[in-house]
Amino acid sequence: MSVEPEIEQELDGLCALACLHLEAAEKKEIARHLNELLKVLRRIQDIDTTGVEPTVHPVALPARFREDEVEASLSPEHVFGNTANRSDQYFHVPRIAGDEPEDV
Amino acid sequence: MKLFEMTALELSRLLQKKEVSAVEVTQSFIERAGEVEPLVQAYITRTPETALAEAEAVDEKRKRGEALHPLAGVPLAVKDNICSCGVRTTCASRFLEQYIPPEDATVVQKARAAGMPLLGKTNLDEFAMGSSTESSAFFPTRNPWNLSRVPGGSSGGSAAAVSSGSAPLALGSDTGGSVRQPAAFCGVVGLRPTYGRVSRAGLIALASSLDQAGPFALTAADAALFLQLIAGQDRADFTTSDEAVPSYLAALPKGVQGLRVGLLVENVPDHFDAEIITAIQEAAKNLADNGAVVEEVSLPHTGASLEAYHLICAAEASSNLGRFDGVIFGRSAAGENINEMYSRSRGEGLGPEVKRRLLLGTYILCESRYEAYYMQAMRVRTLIRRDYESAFKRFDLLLGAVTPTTAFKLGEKLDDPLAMYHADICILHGPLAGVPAISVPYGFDSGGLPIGVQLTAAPFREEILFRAAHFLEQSRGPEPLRPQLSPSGS
Amino acid sequence: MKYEAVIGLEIHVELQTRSKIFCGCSTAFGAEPNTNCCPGCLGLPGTLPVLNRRAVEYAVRAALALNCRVQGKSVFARKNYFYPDLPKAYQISQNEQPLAWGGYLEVDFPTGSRRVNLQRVHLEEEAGKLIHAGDSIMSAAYSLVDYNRAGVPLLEIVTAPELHSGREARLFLEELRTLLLYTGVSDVKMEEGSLRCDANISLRPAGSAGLGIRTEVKNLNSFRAVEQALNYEAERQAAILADGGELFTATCHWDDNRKATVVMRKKEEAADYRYFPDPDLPPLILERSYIEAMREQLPELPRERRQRLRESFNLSDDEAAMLTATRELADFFEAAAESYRDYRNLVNWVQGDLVYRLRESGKRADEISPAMLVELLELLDAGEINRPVAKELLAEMVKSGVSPRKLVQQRGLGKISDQESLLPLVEQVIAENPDAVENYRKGKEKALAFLVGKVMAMTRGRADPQELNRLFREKL
Repeated sequence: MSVEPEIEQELDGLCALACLHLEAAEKKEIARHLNELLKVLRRIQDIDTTGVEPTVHPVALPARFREDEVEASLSPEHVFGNTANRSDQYFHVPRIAGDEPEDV
Repeated sequence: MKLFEMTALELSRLLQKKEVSAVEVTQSFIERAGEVEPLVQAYITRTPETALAEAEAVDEKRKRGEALHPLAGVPLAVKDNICSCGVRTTCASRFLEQYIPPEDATVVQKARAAGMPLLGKTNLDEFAMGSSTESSAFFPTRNPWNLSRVPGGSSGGSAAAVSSGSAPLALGSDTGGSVRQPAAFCGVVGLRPTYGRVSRAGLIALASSLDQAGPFALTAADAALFLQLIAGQDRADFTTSDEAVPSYLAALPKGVQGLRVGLLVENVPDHFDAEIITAIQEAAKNLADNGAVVEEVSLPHTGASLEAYHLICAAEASSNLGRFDGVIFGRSAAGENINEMYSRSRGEGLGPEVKRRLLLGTYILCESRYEAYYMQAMRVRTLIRRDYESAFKRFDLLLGAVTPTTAFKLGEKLDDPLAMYHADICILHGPLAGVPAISVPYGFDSGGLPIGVQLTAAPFREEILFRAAHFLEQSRGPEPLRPQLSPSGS
Repeated sequence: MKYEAVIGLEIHVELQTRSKIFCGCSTAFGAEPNTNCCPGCLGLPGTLPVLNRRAVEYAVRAALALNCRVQGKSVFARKNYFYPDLPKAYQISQNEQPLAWGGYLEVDFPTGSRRVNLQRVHLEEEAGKLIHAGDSIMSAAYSLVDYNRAGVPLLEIVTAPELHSGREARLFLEELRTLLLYTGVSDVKMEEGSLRCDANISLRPAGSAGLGIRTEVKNLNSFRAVEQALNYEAERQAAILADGGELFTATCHWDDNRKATVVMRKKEEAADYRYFPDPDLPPLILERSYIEAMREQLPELPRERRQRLRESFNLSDDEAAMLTATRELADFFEAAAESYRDYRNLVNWVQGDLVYRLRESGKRADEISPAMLVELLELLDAGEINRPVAKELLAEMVKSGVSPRKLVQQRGLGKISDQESLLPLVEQVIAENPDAVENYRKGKEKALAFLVGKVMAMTRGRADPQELNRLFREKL
């Protein structure tokens, strides 16, 4: 089976973009699957689509607007109902500047 | 006949004549679930107390003589990627194991407002990514016709619930066949409505330009009755259409006289099960014998639907699932810094198929590949849409297979994503074109597993689907198909 | 070598709609944290964006005022990245097909008036607000997030790299601020963050056409900071080049306390935001007729108005700029000038006391009646009140909104010229100041002024001095 090298090389970068931690064993497995999939999916490039407009929405959609009216917001009980990261009136997150070099 | 064996329409008539109460009906399904659930495991969460309370409220209203929806008192099971206020909604993912939505999805809200008691939330492939319900983070659901087989997916729980009699109606979602394929595997009716026909608000998105919620039912009439309730433009979903909703039930008795039916040549290639091909041919003959005009038709670009579908679906999913990062809701892992927290929450909370698709979507959306993969897929999507458009200039209805095989064994395709994707080959192109399609049971294979046939109509012509599906049911015999549930299978 | 700075600005303006761009939560500033939040702006699973009509209207209005080509079709796109202020891990923005292309703003620079070209204007959603424990994001052990702001409509305006100093950047921004105030789409407050600006700056040898290595400067929280930071950064880059050093592409942070830029990270490759059209939203289609109707509804813009006022009222450049600083003030001035002909006097009062009192009370000019100022000036001109009283009344009028004539009546602030009121005071002063009386009788005219001054002091300036002169002469 031919293994495309690029996914292995790129996997860490993709994981960083997708914010997805993979265990080493998982990585190998996923890389193998992705290479198999991409081999099939790349066939789409053989189709001649010259001059063809892309379709984002499969059916025509009417123009829609919501009027600028204030509607009820959620109670704090619901805002924080599904998180453990509550700190009083705020959401609490760990250090943001973790991997950015300072004063380089 | 026991209540749980009846169709929604039959239950509706009994309820309206006050021959049974909503509580009795609901109780019957709850008891049935108690018997079959240990075998089938269609539900992630069952809500008998809620259901009975809602049924009681319906009975109260009926007693007071209030005007009620025909489905008032007919209970409902809902796929667990559709939000239910106050009832946990997990998407069959560890990530959302404890997630309790503060609001109902529009479809659930409509069902509750009509007085349909909520029986529970059904199992699915994690985040609806899959075709067997085996990628559920909790447990696989089993096919009521043969417990060693998968129910299909991703809405396998909803299909199995209706098939096993633990719900008369169920809601599923269909992104690339996730209603039609499990309907075919479980021998029930499953409809994918036109994109924009039913609100997606509260349906937890897999691929926003493909997702549609749709009904599972024992009969086309039940599905029609239920679609009537949930269809229509929604202020909370800008991708719903303002197209008028016709009366679906009224179309049912019209028969198939004069219908122009296109028999899909791509849908019955040589490597499909011979018994499925025979079933489709029989259905075609049946339609032709009863006044329909049947001719072969080709959708030449659908050969690329697997590629186009998986590229678009992965791209949209990679963005839609970004919000599962552990800050505002859902599983939250500890981390030294924010990126570590994100990566670990997602890494621990999401399963392998989800990870694959997120990485695939991330890969193809990168600036350097966007044109060659994503935009190319969107252009191929246009070609597929045009194939359908020209077919619908000649035909009212297209007839083809739902699946190349009947229900496969649990574990059979689990480590082979591509084989799993190929199982959906007949049901991926419809969603790319946005067209409505229905899966109707039509016979069995030699192993006793149900076979479904697929009918597809032009956008917003669901009534033609119901007409033809109803005809096929009637010609097959009026009684819904019932599995004999036994632990050993056949 | 002499270098020229090349500066482009990326400006974000919060539009002052009542509700957010994609949900119905209030946009009110200063609410309790995380109370203006709903499933939509929190990005809870299953939620979908629903576009606010007024946000589009305001964006179109601003784009037209900026002379942009507003597009009949624009497309919302997702900008994908993870950050805790971004609930969905993508921002709904516009990328390949923005709301408007091109446009320009004419600005009066010290070197003369010049058009600064714009590249594009687009509509997007605002992120939440982060509060860092500790001094800065760098040293913070954790951060707190408030999503009240998440989903406020935001207009992004990108200029061409056509500004050449901190001063120019500041003048451009000030002109932009005035323009946006006129169109009424935003309150444009840098201190509250409803106007924000990032800048790209690079150097090139004076007179050459290329672009050098650029840095992106962030955290510019006031007009002054924009000017100082860009001047600082230009000097920093020039110093490196003068030393034969090498510049690199970077993002830096303006430290307003240290008055220095701090390089935050080397920008080796741009982040890949994986833009794609948002499938949840149909394309934004704007009919030609709608765009033209919006264009016709545009108010007179600051530059035209400045010119018209300058010519009609014979104003200096500074006076015209001052009077047109906001649409409300210019409206006020023009309304007052309709019924009050001494323009000079009116200009002086408006740009002096009135502007001062408005600022003091935190009121806008449209909360004050121009007719009342005219009434006040007429009272003064008619000699019914004197100048100090007029100033006092103006302050009171701005504060309470009560008309000057009423205030005069209520408080008895009018001029005192009747004999019955003044005579007892004149007699009292004569009795209390025998020396002055003596001196006057000896022919010292100055002594009379002293005595009149005494009565003036007793009446807090309200006595009529001419009448007092007459009464003193008569008595003595």
